[in-house]
Amino acid sequence: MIEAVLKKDFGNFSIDVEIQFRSLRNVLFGVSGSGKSSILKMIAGFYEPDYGRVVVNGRVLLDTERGVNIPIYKRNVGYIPQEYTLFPHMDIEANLLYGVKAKGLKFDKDKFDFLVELTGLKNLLKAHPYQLSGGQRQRVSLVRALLVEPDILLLDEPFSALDRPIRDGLKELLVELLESFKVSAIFVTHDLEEAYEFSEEIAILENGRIVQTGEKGEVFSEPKSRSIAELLGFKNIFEIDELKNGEIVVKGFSFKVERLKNNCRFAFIRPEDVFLLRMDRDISDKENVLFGRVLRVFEKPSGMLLKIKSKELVVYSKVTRHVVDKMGISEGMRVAVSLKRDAIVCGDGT
Amino acid sequence: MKLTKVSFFPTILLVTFVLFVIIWGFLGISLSDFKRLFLDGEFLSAVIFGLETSFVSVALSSLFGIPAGFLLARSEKFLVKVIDVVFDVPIIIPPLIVGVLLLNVFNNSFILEFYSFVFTFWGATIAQFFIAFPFTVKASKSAFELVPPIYERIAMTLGANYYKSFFDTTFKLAKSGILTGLVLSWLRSLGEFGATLIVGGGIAYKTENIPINIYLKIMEGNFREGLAASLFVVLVAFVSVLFIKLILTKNKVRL
Repeated sequence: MIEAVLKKDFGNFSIDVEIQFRSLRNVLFGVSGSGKSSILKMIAGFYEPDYGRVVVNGRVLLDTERGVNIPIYKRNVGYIPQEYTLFPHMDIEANLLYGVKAKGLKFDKDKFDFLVELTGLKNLLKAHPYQLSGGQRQRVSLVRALLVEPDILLLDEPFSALDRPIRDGLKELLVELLESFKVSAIFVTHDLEEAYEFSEEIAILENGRIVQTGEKGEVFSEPKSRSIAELLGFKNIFEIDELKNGEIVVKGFSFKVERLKNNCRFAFIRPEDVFLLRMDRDISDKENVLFGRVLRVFEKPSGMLLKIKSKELVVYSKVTRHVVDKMGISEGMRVAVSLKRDAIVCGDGT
Repeated sequence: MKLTKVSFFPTILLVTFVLFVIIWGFLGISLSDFKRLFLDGEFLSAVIFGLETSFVSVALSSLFGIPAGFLLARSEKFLVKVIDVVFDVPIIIPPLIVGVLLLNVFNNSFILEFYSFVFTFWGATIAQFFIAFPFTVKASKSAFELVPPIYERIAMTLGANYYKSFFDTTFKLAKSGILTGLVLSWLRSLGEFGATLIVGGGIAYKTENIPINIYLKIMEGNFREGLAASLFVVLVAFVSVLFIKLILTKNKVRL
């Protein structure tokens, strides 16, 4: 359980957030410059907010109102940044044991052996950081942080500098370690996929403010505003011209929507939820059907993205390569798509 | 032609110039000149005085200069930037003039009430310190600047307090750079002439250091002895720098 209220004015930029995480795996998501790292650093105690309160598992680490400010070395907070994580002048063993010694903890050999074995560092104990790969270094950093039994782990884009396969392996390892040691973590990232994979709870940060926070599923399926929808990969964003009988009107087209809210000014739908229909079948029972022409076919690693235009409306639909081949989709072709009714979300224009 | 090839020519010229001057010096003396040097009581006393004053000067430089270098490296404050410029002053004004300015201060009646620095060990030492400490400050500053503060922070999250985290990480990583600065300060003190002469007076067996001794030898017409003493200083400087370089390459930390 992590609670943080932080206010800090940097002159040309300010942070004003209230964060509450109850899960083990929490993500702070936002573009670079949105203030993610600064928030993490204030929780760790690297610098002080103008006003703030930080409580981890019921222990007050900072309360500017009451003059409480526990120094970094007593906060019991683990911190793992992207680079410069290991002490370059110490070998791996000395790095791993630094915290145990500094804190005067009893050396738990079983735990040490278990972790070193699990992370594949056993043969590297006498090596120096420069001899290790980026992935190995971050593993050392993780084990070193866990050996001092922190109340919370703060991860500041720890895997961003690594190659994809290594990053994936480390993410798995991280989740495994957090779950077996029951340590909660705040993971800062600007990578949508990483945020989705890692999080149980997520807070989205924009310009130093939390714009939406909640359980992963809820946030990813229902962005509150246009900018959040953009951030979360909703490529289709329509401005609503009119609301009529539970339907939205966009550039002359009417679409049925499952849930209409009062502040609906924009509608969002993921390209994955815009289905390509087979014209040789009866499509009269399909919902929100749109006829148009394929403008462009984009190849993506995960499939094909079609840019379809119908009158003035442009819609993106994501389909598998197989579908494109089988249906012989090419640029200029006439197609029909269906906008999945319960996948259309609406929100405000901020 | 490649630029590295073009720059090879002036480089060779410079090296030849330096080596020629030194080797020519050694060709001008014999081993017996060195022997005679070490039987010369006044010279030996000058060596001892020079070592004593320069060591105290370096001790003071490290005591004040290393923390100052740390502040200059870490603080972004305007005042600190101004202080950085102030530390250039002892380097840019000629040592003789430093001596005159110090003499002016030491002859102040207020200071004279406490201690008379003129023509004493402490007068000479302070003169050397004034000229030598900026090298320690500058080298420490550059050394600390090369170490990102993140190591200290991580050490703190692992339970090390402010001082322990600093000494275990930043200080150890900056150590070789600081050491280089201290050696520079030391050699500068050992070879200091102008300010030490003006403030200390260059009194034989009392406030005479090696350069002053050499100057007096030559003034007295003992050029050969003066040359031998000069080459002795060259050897000391060369060996010290070599020694430090060896230590540094042995303990080099790879980032």
